[in-house]
Amino acid sequence: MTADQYRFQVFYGPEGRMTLVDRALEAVSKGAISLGLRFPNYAVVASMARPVRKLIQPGEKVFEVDEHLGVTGSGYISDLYKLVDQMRLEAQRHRLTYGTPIDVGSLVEAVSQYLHSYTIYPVRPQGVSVIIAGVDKMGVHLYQVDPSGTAFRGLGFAVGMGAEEAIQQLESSYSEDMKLEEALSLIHEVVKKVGGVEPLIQYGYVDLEDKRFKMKKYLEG
Amino acid sequence: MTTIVGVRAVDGVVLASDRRASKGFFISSKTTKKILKVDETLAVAIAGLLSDAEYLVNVVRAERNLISLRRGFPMTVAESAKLISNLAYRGIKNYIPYFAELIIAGVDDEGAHVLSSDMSGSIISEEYTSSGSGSPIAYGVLEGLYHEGLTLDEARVIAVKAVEAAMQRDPGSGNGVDVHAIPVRGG
Repeated sequence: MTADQYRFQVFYGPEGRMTLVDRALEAVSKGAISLGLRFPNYAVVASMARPVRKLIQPGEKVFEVDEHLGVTGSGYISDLYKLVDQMRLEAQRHRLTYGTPIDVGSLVEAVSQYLHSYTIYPVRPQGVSVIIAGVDKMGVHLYQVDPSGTAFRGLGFAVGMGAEEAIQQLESSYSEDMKLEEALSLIHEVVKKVGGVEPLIQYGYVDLEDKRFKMKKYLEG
Repeated sequence: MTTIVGVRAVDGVVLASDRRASKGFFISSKTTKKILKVDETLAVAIAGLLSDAEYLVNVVRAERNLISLRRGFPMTVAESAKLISNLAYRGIKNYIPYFAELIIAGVDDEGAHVLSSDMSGSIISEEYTSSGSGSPIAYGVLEGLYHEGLTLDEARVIAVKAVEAAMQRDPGSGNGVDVHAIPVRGG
């Protein structure tokens, strides 16, 4: 293979798919599951803190980006840490430039651009999918962003190991008038079923009322 | 040189200015537009170097369009003013200041706002404000006539009176008054 052909294959495989990005997505699906649900007045993100050795404290999986924004994700946790840093930076940049909190859509676009930038050079695409919950003047928002930089807007997301099954369960159980406690117990139920063990779940939520992201430690069954 | 005035009313904001542009002791224009409309809900009155002021206003206009397209709701007046003050502050800290004092007036979801900015990058929210060489005279009128709870029509009269007084006694101001009023949405 000539050097030129080789370089080309870094980006696209023979089927015309971006192989590295596909594999990053594959890496995401090996991570502990993360979920997000949005309702008219609030949105919640949750993530399974991998179980867990007796002598090791579980790692952080849910993060506050700004007072009105929270994020969780699955995949390579250090890629997630770095992405969270970028998001926090972007949120503060907006405050410096305009003197107001960043709107959720703009933050998601920044995340999208950040992840996309790793897909147009021969570097390692970030092995992380994130679920972002936030509130702004337009209301409550929930987004998922993938390693390709693709952003989805919606009512319910799951990424990580068992995501497909989890999404099916969320789809069948979701209803708009769920209270926070009901949403949390749905999440718990889904994660437990998908993971097959009694899970340790970290979560956080934003609501329309006080427009703040509230980080909670762990959700007990 | 110049007199510009901004007054906040309960149902809107009003800007007024004279029309004189000077080059030293020479009147270089008698029809200068010193109130620039950014869009339907925001306008800026300018004192100082016209080119610098126009540049700042053009940046704000572009940024307001970009931001509202991106996030789906418009920039507030305070956000727009903050943008100008950031530019001004960067200018003065790099020894290439924008020689302009602006009065930024507009309406948004929070109501009507008048803000004054100067070349140091400061930004102050005001009930009424004036800038330019005629401002001490204009302030005399504003201090006498302004009171809380002004309607937009009353504010317009006061703003025009303030500029007219300044034009009588300030050699840097004259040649007629421009007024621009912005009512609050639905007002």
